[in-house]
Amino acid sequence: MYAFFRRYWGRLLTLVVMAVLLFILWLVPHTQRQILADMTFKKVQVIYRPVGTFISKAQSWLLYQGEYILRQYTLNDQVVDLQKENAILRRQKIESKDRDHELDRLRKLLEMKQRVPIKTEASEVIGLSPSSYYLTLIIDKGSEDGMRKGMVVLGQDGILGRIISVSPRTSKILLITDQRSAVSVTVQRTGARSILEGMGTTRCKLTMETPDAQIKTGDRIYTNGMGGVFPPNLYVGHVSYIKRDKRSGWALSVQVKPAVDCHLVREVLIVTQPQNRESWPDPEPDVEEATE
Amino acid sequence: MNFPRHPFQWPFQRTGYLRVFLILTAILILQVEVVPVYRIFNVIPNLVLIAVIIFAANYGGTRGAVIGFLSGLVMDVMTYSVIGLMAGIFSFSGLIVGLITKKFYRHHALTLILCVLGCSLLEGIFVYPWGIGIGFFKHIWFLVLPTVLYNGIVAWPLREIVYKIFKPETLQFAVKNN
Repeated sequence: MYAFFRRYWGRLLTLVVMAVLLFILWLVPHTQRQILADMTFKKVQVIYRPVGTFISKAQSWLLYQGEYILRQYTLNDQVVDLQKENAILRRQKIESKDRDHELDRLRKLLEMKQRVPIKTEASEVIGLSPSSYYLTLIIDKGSEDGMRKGMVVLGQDGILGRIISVSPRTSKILLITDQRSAVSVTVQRTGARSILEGMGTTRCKLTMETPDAQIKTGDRIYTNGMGGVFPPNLYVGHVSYIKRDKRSGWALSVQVKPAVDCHLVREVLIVTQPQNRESWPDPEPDVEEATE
Repeated sequence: MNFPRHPFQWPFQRTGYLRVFLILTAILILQVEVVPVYRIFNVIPNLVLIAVIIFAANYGGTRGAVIGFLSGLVMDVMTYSVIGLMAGIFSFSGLIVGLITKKFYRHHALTLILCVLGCSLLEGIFVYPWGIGIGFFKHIWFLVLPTVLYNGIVAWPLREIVYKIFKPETLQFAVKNN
């Protein structure tokens, strides 16, 4: 027994002290005990709070970092997905714009087809001239589709040229702007006949039969059917530049801007009907006269 | 006077011709399909003529003329010029360039550009449709000069590309021999 006490006296003493303290506490009334507990808690809090705050902040920082790293992985994927989506949307936007342009072009072409009461066939431009000195286009229809040499080709707003060579699947068009091209035309307002010759650029020149003082910028030029190649009353373009003689006022040099931009045209109409005079279109009313 | 051995002689001759054929084919396709889109001031460069000049400068007059003739024939078909006109012009250009560059710096870029300018001018003069069109001087001013300039600008990069493909045998061999 003595050996037991001797061996465990420290622990026993602790137990006794604790029992005494508990007894004292038990003796204290309940309300005072609560106040004491609160006070002790507050004291402990004062000491513990910085440590707790630090631990809490460290914990939240670690959590944030973990989430950040996880989010980085997912964000990277999201960014890649969004970039792909963006690229698709951009492409769709461009395609949509292209479709709009194509629709506009086709609508104009259809209007042209309805305006010209002769049988025409639509075709697509598949090639441009590979030389600066020869202005030609290649279309995707040839002899197998009924194309023949000499057929007249129309653009959205007016005359474009004529077929000069035909292969089974393609045809080559000589543009009216080529230097080797000549079309018999009439100035609508004055009725003056002249020859429209290509300049090799985007313009044509008018070679007047007689010097004309009346012609002015903006005059509309139409084919007159002479020569039998081009049907009459097809719109060609308008007068864009006139160089006049200072004394007489006669037009020395007249340039015409074709209605169709030959380098931008994508779809064309080919006049496939045999050109008899009954089927030729009626002349269009002059814009100025109509407005007057 | 002993001229240095021709850089394209055997054993590089056959591979050289194959390359010429492939490069010319590629350039012809470019000329027909891609170049017409890049029209500036109503003119486009003539890559085929430039290629003919590059090859003529390397191969000499006779072979240059043959290459020019064949390329010109294709261009005749692709445009609607009188058959043989472009062939004649290109073949003449190849011959002249081959003969001139025999005595000058054949691999120098400036030589090539000068040859391109000269031959483009020659082409522009020969294709003028006499009797019709806008008049000779207007033709020169509005069409030929811009084309000559455009060709001159395009010549150097095209030469670099062609030489990049050629270089392993041609330039090294030429340097060794010269």
